[in-house]
Amino acid sequence: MSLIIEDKDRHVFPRWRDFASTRKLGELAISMPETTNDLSGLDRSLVRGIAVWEKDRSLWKGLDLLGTVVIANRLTDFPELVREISENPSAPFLARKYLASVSTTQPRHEEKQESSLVDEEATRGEIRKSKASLQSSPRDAVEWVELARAYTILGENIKAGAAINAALFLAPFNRFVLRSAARYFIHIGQIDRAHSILGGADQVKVDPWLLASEISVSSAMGKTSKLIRAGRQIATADYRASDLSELRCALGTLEIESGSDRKGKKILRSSLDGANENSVAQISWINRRHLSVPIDISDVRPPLLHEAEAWSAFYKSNWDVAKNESLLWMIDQPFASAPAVLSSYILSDILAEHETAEKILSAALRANPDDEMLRNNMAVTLMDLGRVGEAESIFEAIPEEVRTKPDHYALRATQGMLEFRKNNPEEGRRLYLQTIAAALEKGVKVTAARAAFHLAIEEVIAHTSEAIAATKRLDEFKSEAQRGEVACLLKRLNTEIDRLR
Amino acid sequence: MPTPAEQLSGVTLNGGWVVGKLIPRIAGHTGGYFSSSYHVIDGTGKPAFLKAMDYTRALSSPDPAAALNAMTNAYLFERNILQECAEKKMSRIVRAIEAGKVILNGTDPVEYLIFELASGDIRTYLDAIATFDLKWTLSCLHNIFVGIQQLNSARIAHQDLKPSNVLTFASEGEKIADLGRAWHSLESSPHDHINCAGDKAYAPPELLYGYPPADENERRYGADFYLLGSMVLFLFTGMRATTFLMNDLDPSHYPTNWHGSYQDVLPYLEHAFSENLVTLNGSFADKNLGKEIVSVIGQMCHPNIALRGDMAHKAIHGSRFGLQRFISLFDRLRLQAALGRMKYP
Repeated sequence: MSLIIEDKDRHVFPRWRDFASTRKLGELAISMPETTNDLSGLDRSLVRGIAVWEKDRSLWKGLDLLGTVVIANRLTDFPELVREISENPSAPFLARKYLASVSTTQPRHEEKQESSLVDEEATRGEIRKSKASLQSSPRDAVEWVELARAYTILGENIKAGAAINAALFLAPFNRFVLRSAARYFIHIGQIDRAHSILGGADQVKVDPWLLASEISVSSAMGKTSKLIRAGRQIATADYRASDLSELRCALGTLEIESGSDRKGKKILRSSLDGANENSVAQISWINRRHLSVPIDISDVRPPLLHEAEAWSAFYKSNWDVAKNESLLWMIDQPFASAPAVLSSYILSDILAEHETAEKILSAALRANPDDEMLRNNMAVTLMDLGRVGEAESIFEAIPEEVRTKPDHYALRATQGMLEFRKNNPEEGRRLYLQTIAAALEKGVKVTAARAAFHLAIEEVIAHTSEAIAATKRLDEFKSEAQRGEVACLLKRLNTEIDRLR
Repeated sequence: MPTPAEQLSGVTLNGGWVVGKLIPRIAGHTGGYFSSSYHVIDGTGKPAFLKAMDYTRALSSPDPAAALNAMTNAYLFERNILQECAEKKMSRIVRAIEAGKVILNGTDPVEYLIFELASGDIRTYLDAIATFDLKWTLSCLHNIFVGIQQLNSARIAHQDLKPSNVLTFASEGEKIADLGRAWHSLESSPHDHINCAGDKAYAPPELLYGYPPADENERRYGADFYLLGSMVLFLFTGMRATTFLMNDLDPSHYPTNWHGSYQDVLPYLEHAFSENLVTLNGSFADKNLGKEIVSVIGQMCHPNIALRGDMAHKAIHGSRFGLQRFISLFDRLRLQAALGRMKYP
């Protein structure tokens, strides 16, 4: 024992997806008209182009009209023009290619393949592509962000930081750049920097997406945002509902955390109008952690709703769904540790799919090499795979002061498991029993139960004389054994006993 | 009832020009003034093209005096610029042979301009040849670039370069027409105050999104640069620069859908532009030709006006909107194409 899961704090931090996915989700539009642009000239141009083409339906007059049609955003009104050009073998290749691409219905968002999680070479390929593109277009801020994200996935944070700084230098006002940069600095533990970037942006007072991020980052820092008043004003302004969802969610979270459940729930309910998956995941977490009467989110199904679905399935002991959704969550946010912690827990501790867990943890540790929870889970997984030496070295890389913290029950239990696997059952037992006692003292009985089950499993595997006593000790945890994940440990224990027989 | 400018058929003008049939007006015609067009022939049978100003249309506008004034100013502006082009022997600008006035029915004055007659515009030519002709394309681009350089050298920006304004002449190649929306640094025009003087459907993105640069040179010559690059793209790909840009742009960032500032949308335009340059490069089987064309587009059509232009020219001459290097390039490329050393597609 033991793998770790964590479902403690959650904030409406900005998601960091690649540019294509972010724009497809509609998160980069401007819904509140800041300016009016007179485009009446386009209509005149279109009328003239149509008249010319109708008089002479030739290829090049058609191509000329096509340009105006595309710019006027009227392509769907001209199927005949599109067909004639598409079917004309003399039409230039790129024009036909363009028409083929716009004629195909594109899905609003595409799920990436599970294999992309562990494919380091694919990420290296993305880096090469970004670098080649930046060589010819070095002022492309969006591409610098793409490069930073790829480096972050591989844990090359110094290079990622340089790329993020380049993007910030080139487009310090842009929503995509600012939210991506903020998420990067949160990821590397520089939350102050994330806050100063968001708070210092000119647009923050008028852009609900930036306001949501600033308020959430302030809250995570234990501060009260100076922009809450501006946020409240914007949250009721005439923006598209989907643009306000994260902001309302951030404001609602603050109300709930300050004890104003009624007010908070009202704001959170309003955030469900046009909600993205981040808002739904936040409300789902608030339901779990704070509310006795949860907010109904069952009808809200935005794209990429994997985090909320994974936790929902986890707490219902629906392991296959929880596994799949946690993996999809990790594919969506491959640099983040939280999805890997959950999925490795499910894979290794509950479903005993240790090989898959190892792959997931390897990928997550690339992006988060110092993450103690990931290291712990990897050590346990490697021990279950019989690779005790590797497990020991990865576990011992966690700083000793962290490993020996009194409330780090899981780390202490993992140390116990390691001792068992190194044929030191006495020391292993001592550490497990210490963990059980400490957890019971703190009132976290489910943790004590999990440690007790793991101890029993280790005693059985090690064929010790204490195996029967350890199994009997489990009677203390009968009520916890009804919980899904503890019930799975009971199943594992029985398997080990059967194997021994 | 036909206006005086629509009744010129059969009339003999000063200089012996005989006016032929009225050319039907195309719907959606724009310009500083309304006009009627005719074919004319001189005493030797040489054909030409006549544009007659239709002042009477001003009378039906809500403010006839202002409309009449605007039309007169627009006509005079174009006539003066054409005269300057002729005096400066701008060989790649369609020549105005004559400007004059005729009195119809004893009372109705009609002012007109007579131009050399083209066989058509480049679209007509491209439709006629059916298959892509690299040598012709490069030669045509050379001529267009020379034409704009001739104007820019006289501190005139065309501002409305598009395929229908590039006319083909059997013996002289391509020339640029329609200076009705031009800008002259030394002479004010009726459309100087308009955000986008030329056809908006071809306009550079900063004007299309409604953000004209404050700097006059960037605004005027920068637009000509973009329109030239757009012509290069059109001839090679059938797509103009802005269509090309929109190829990889999210619909929410289209000019028709965007309501934020140009500064806010620019990073997305720059990204789409850079992605599309990669696509463009991949479409050239001849990598040397591809490299040159992509480089031209990269310099001429950059959505960020501050990054548009020939930076090497700036280092020497102080302005980045010099065209000489591109003219030399197309001259060299057309020679190589003539020798069969380049191919496309």
